[in-house]
Amino acid sequence: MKIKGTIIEVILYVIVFAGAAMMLMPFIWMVVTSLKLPEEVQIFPPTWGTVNALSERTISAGIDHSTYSSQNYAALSLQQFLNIGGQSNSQEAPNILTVNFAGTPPIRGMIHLTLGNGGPIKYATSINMSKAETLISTVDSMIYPLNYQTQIKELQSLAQNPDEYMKAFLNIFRYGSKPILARMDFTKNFSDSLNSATTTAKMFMPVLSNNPALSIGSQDSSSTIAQKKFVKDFLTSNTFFVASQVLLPKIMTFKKGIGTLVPDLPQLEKAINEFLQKVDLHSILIARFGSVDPSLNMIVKFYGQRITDPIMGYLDIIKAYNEINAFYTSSMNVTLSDPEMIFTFYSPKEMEQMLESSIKSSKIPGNYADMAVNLINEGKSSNLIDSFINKTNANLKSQLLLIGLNQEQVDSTFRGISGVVTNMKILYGLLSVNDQQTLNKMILKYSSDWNTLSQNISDVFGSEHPNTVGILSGSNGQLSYISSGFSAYKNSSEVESALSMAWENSLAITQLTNVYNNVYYRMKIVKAPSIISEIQYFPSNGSTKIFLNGINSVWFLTLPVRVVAHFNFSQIFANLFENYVEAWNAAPFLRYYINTVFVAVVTTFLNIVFGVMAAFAFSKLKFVGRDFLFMLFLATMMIPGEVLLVPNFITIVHFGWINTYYALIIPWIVSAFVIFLIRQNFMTVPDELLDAAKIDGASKWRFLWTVMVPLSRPIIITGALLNFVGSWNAFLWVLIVTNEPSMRTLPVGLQNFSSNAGTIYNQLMAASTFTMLPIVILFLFAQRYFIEGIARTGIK
Amino acid sequence: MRNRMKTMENISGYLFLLPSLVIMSIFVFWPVGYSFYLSFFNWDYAHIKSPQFIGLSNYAQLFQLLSPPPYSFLYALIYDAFYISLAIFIVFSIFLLAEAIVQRHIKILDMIYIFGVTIVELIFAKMVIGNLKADPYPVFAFLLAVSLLFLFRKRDFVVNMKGRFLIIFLIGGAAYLALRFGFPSQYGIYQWLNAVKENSDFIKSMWNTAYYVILYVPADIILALFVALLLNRLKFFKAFLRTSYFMPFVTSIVAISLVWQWLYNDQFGLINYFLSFFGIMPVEWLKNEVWTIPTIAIMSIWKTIGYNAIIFLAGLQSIDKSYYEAADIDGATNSQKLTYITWPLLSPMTFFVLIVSVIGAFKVFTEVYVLYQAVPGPYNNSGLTIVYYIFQTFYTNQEMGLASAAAYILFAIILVFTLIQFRMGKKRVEYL
Repeated sequence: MKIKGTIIEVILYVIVFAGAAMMLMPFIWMVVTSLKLPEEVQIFPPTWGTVNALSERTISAGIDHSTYSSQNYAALSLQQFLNIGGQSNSQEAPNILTVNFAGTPPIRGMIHLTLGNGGPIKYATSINMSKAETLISTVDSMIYPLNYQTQIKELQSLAQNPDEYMKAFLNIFRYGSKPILARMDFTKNFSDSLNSATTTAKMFMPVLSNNPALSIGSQDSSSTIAQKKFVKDFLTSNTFFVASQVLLPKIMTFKKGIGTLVPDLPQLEKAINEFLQKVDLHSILIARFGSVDPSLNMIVKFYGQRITDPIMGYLDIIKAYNEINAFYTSSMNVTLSDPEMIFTFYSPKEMEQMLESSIKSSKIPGNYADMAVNLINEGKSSNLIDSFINKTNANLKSQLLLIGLNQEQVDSTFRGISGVVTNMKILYGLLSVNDQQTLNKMILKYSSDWNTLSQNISDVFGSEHPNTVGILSGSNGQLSYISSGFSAYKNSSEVESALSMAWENSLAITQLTNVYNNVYYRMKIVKAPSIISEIQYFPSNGSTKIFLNGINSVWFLTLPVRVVAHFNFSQIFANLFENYVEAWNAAPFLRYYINTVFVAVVTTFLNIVFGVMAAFAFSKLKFVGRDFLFMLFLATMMIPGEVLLVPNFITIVHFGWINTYYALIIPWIVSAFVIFLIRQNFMTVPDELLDAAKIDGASKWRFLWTVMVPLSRPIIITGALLNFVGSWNAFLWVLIVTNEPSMRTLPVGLQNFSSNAGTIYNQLMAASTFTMLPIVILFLFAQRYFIEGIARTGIK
Repeated sequence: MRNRMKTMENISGYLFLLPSLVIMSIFVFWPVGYSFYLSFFNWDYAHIKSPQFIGLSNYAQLFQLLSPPPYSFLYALIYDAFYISLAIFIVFSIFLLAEAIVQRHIKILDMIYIFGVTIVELIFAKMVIGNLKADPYPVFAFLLAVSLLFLFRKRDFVVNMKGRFLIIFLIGGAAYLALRFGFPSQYGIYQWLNAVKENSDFIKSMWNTAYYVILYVPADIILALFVALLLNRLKFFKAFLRTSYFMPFVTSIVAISLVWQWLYNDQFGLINYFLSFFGIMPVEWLKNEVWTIPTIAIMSIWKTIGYNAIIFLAGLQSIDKSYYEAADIDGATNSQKLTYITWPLLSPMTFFVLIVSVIGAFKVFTEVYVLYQAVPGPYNNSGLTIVYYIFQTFYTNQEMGLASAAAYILFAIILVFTLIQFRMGKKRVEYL
């Protein structure tokens, strides 16, 4: 009997705990999600852990083979982008190796980047030029299938520079956007060629076999007769078709697989060779008879050109690849025994010092350099460029104000000048260094007379860059158009001369951007091979630039990359709560918090004060209409708040309280429920106490606060807590009476954030967590009061 | 002197009450009347300065259909009356049979009549009703003929049916549903409403809300009662368990809804993951209109189980232990104690929870607003509830008069439930 009872007890516990687990699951899942990395969130099946909690994180990464661009555009704002627009045509320096991270790039910690599989790697410091020349001419002389000729011919233009030749070769064959050795394309083209060769063979082989050259003449030697017989037999047999039927499915097996065809090349080459051994008439004849009979030359040549050469072209591609690749590999003459790099972030202090010294040593004009240094000292180094642009713009505007324009004129002038400068920068970017200096001088010289400037620009650069110049200074270009607009102002030439200031500003911005980008993304190298001079890392898109000391990056392009980030304890902690930081910064949550706390505290406080007063009146005082009023108050408890929504909104509009704390607080400072709750408790206090207090000379007011309230403390706390929670979580009313972020409370702010964040669930969950956290903590500490209050609502 | 004392008491009473009275007057009493007044005016963005009195037009507009219903409501009523009559006859038949078997007392005439009518009706249902177009007269005539026979009866067909309302209701309901599925017809009240709701946003919102109430309330109460009974019985970990069940209730609906939005995600969500253990294909919780109301209901049940369980728990703990001791002495089993002591004594609580849940359920809004990112459901207004309708009409469309009218209809619905609570509550409270 006892055992049976225990078993039932255990089963009940299991059920109840399973239920509790289900109730808590959403909270647990919320917290787990809020700690995850972006790539860990939207995966199936869901996981309950996160690599953020580990001290080591492996990041999948690879060498960047995409076309080399000098700037990291993803890391720039639009304004910055315009400011460096002029530089985009410069080529990536040959000694920069770029590594791209596929996972979320770490923004703290120690990054270990290893080239190769961990063992020693090889590279070359110089190339044997004569060998390279032979190689290049061999590759050039081969006959490739038509589809590939243009691509391979591109290589020729780099013949003078073997390093870059090799780089281009790797790109064209293996890594480019449409590499030659791509599985799908190569196998498809090859099978197409084979099919068309077969079709051609079907058409021409019967014709060729009947060619008069094959008929046996009386003067023919025995060997000639034998050759002719052999060729005729070959052309009438189905050897070719059998061989092509064997080859085709073999080719197709290479279609499946990962990456390019490179690892399968030997087998592919073997298959093609086997095929050619059976069908290449020319080499078969040579192998059998030693030479080709002159009378058969025409037939063999025709057969070769039409039927076997297109197939041989593919073999040539493979040969060319093997040749260059062998040269590439054999050229590597230096061994790097430890190709591991360890680098980390500079501390903000170090970064500021570096920025300051490099700005001072750069060519940025003194006053601009000082301005930038000041901004750094103000602690704005993380968004230095934007701050700098804002500062220069502000200076320009104040200059315009000094001239004597009013605010409206300043704004329109500023817009005009900015437009002109933007277009000039585009022009500037298209020019050579010498022309850039000419343009510079021209602008400084004629900045107070835009019509002349316009004339000069279109004279000097018009023929070469008609489009840009057309927009800027053509017949009705920007310069003269805006200039004529300025003539309405009393001192238009002074206004126009502001252009030179704006132009200098923009040049300084460009220079500063260059300096900044070179310094700001620089990493502190803890350990690196001596051939590496500098490492730049762009956390926003996870690309790392490795600057090699006088060595072309081509020698490292085929290597795999291993990246592991190491974190110490405080960094793990920071990683875990990264989503919280980002969510917190993505919307004005601090403001929401302050609003919510303020509104909830004030509402609750007033609610209790007024509630206690009303409860006192209803319980201990006798006045006309007391019971009627009490019933009336009670009756309001059954009115749904939604009925009051429209008229109350109209009232709030009428009072002019939209977007104020009044609207959030005043309508909620009296609650019939709180009055009722406290009144029921006050009823249990004997009336004699009040009489005793009266005799002692205490006023009712004093009696209420010194006797009644302390006696009913638990129920007042209960009422206050329920009210506080209700106020904290209020949604519909706040949504309606506020439309400015500065007045929103947490629930509305969170809802608004969610519609902006969309499906970034890790941040959404982080925001949800810190929204509900205070209430959950409050509940955990004051559970007893909550549950008592709720239970009381039932027993009334 | 005495008069002065009285006046003083009066004055001080009102002084203590003053702040509450002022606020209540401005933000509760006045709006109740004003909202009622507004509901008779055409007051939208076009008439913001000069509201026009239009009588009951706002109320009429709420129920106005975009296009006429496919057939008249009367037809629907007649068709359903047929099904209901058949269900009644089936109930009769079952009870007659039971009577015949248990009491060995066979009433030949009644049996012939009841079984005869049941069989005729079944044949009619099988052969005719599915093929009828919107033409109720054959059904009506048939019904009339069947019910005429009742007029000649003075005493009851089946004696033992008295007082067994619950079982009659259950059998009748089951029979009705079975008939509806077994002999399908496109005419009936449900079918009529289902067609009509697409023609009026407000009717759709009432339909959705009713659907939500039906899904949410029974499940919520049964689960909460179950949890409360368990919690009341167990001795250890009480605080922890109570906390975990109650926690959802104190947290913000917005945050909760966001969490559930993530749980409901059809590709990567936890719920579909758990369902996949049982071989259930991923459900498009938030993208399919069929799932809109169940989605909201499941989340709400989770949120309020704790609250209702706490109320039940308070009720359970207020039951006098001596009842159970007496029952123990009499040798009552656990299930007997539950049916004859706990359940009856808990009935006031059950009733309170029922009414509070129904009222709360009628006001559902925030869950929809957040789960579906400020849209009423994925498409086709599938998540439009009454309060959402009020919010949309008032805040988005700025039709204050119409919104007030809708709010008053909601008020009327809630008032009816509250009055039922008072009525029934009074009867039941005597029990204690």
